[in-house]
Amino acid sequence: MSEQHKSKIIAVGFMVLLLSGLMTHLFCPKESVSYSERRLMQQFPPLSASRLFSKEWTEKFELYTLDQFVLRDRFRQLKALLVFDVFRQMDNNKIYVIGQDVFKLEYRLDEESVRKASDRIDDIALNYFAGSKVFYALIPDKSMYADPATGYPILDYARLSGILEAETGSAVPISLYDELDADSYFRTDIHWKQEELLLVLDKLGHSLGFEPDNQYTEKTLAPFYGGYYGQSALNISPDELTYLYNDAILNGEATDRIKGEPLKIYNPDDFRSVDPYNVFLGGPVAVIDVINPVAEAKRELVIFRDSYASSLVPLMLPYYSRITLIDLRYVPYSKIPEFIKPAGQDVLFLYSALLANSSFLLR
Amino acid sequence: MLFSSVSFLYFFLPVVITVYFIVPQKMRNLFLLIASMFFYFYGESGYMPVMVATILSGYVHGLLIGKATGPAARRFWMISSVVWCGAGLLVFKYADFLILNVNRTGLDIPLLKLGLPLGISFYTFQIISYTIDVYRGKTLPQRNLVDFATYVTFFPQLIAGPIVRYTTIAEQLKTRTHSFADFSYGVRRLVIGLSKKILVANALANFAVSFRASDQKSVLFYWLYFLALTLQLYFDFSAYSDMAIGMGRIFGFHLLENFNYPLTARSITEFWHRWHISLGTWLRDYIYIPMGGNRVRLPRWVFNILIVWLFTGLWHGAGWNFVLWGGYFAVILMMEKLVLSRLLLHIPSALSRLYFILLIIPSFVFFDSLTMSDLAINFKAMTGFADLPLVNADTFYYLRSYFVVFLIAIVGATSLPSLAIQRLRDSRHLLCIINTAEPVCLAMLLLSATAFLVDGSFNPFLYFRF
Repeated sequence: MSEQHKSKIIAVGFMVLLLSGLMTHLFCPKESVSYSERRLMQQFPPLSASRLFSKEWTEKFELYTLDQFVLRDRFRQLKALLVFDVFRQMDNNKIYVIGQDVFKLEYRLDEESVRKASDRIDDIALNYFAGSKVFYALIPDKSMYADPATGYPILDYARLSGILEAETGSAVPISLYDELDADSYFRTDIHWKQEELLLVLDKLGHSLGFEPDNQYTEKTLAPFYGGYYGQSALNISPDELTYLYNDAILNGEATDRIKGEPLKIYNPDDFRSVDPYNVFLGGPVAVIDVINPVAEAKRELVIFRDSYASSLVPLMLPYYSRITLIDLRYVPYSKIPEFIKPAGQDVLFLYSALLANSSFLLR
Repeated sequence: MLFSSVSFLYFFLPVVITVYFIVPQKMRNLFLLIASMFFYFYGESGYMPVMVATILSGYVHGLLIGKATGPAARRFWMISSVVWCGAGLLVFKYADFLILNVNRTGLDIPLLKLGLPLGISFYTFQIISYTIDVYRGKTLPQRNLVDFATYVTFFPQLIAGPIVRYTTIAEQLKTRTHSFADFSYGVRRLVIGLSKKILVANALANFAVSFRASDQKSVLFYWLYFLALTLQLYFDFSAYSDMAIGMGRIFGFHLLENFNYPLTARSITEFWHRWHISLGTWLRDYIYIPMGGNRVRLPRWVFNILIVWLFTGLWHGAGWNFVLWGGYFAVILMMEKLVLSRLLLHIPSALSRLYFILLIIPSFVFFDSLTMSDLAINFKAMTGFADLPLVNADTFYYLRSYFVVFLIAIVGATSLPSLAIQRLRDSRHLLCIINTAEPVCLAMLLLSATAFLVDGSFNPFLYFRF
């Protein structure tokens, strides 16, 4: 190819690429939601004379140009491939992959945060549940079971749980570390798999005073693209989401206490939503009451929780007449009396280690 | 608006290039002026009047110098222009630094807390160089306000250089030619600059962020951090110059080179002939030489060097660390001039390069340390006096993760890649392959850079606020 031809191809090709980017941006339909990133996508910010070129408007416009770029997910995938395969970096946006397992790089221990989590547990236990049996259980992050030979730093779970144990005086610890392993978690999601929680259920039952019979029927939904799938931007093979049920679970009744609306224990329709994990108890709901109308014992349980509890609580339902779930990320703890009247319920703080390490999220 | 943004690459630039080549030739400067004003207004609407006032001042002063009869009147208007431009820079960039230092004496003068207008250090230096060159008779005053404003505001170089001398583009403002060869050259420089910034500089910036966030530092981690910082500054700043030169060429302007593989230098003297060339030559021509340069007695020469490097340091930032950074180079330059230059010429180049590396990396410790306390901590850590391990797990993780990035950056900072490509092009058999591969490679680089942009977000150049 001659220099002249090459120059023309470069010049024309460059303008074609840029103008194609512009035209597709202007004329392609806009996405309102990103299923891979589980968030709303920025739309064109409203224009007005006062807003035009204000810092706020230009920031939103910049975000809009990125969010609505044509083939955005494909470009993110290209970037992930370049980072891992060309630049040979260990993680991309703090997401890394070992085999077909996706993890998030979260390893800096914030001891102050863990102490604050401990203080919160003690405050609630002493102020609201003085006469109750109070327990706490820390859910290890899946990265803690990854092969250490891969060289990825992980959160010092032993140190974190040690601080919590040393600082928490008003609640009895329940260790779940040995009841879980690498296969207990979804490959493409942060959460654990419900069908792998039977040993966890046994351990909790041993501490709280119930004996699980572990008789369930399984129902599987597929493909399950977990939260990490979208973040990885890679072609990871999806998971399957299995939920377990028996008569007690099927007869259970759940209510969103703040909205006053009924919820389903399992809602398969949510499997096609932005976050398929919402199949379990409708996802992030601040306060839920779950009633077992056929419970033999009139026992009640209060769980202060994060999202992991959504898949565990249905399995505990047969052993309680009522389970109240409170998510302190959405409800300030000063409002607890609005939802709970202390009456000797069992109390369980069930948090992931990552949340204990970021306890500023608790209100 | 940043060059490394989707809004610039896929909205602003294609529209401006398309309209530029559609409008009649005599309207092209006006169109570039409008586009450049829009570009500046998008990023800095509040301080637009400051730039406009400085441009008008430069334009009017140029005419006044041209019209003045007698050297005293010409000198008066030249000094007036310098004072006007300098005052703007002083107020917006250095006022609070001065106030803070005066307040150390016990006073309590309130800070002005003015934001720094984008590109003020660049466009004021350009205007000062213009009026001084008019005064010196090197160029005639520009009577056309549109052409003059186009020179100052030309968006490829407006906010981060290079500092373009009016004399180098005066003719090009009047008449310039366009060709596919120039356009494709411009595209090449633009895409390579974009790739340097997004694929390399930003990756090094991520390493730096990881270092700062780490509570498990080591001696090696500190050295890697400052190596990354050195390379990041080079790739970031030279990328911007590449993009500016590339875009300039697309519009028919031939801007001068601003970087010449500075990290391959064998002395600090050589480094400053290769790094930010437009700033170095500006300071030489408008401060150092007027003060007498090196054609004076030794004490005066030392004084001249110290003043120039005080300016150099302060130009980069209003802080004592930047003053110390300038002073650091002043001392080394004097030592090289007086004592080391012959030695450096005669030792093996590997040794002289090692000498250079061991001096240049610590220089950026001054650059990066915003307080004297930070400076002390950083130097102690680098020299092993800070009770840190030599290496640790965090360091290994990030070294392993960024090894290829460092390798690409180190090799890319040399002339090896361009020499290799040139050698391939010199071969008649391979020239056809190279000519075919080049458009494909440029397209792949552009798409790769786009992929990183789309995945990320805010992405500022480091010299954005100078």
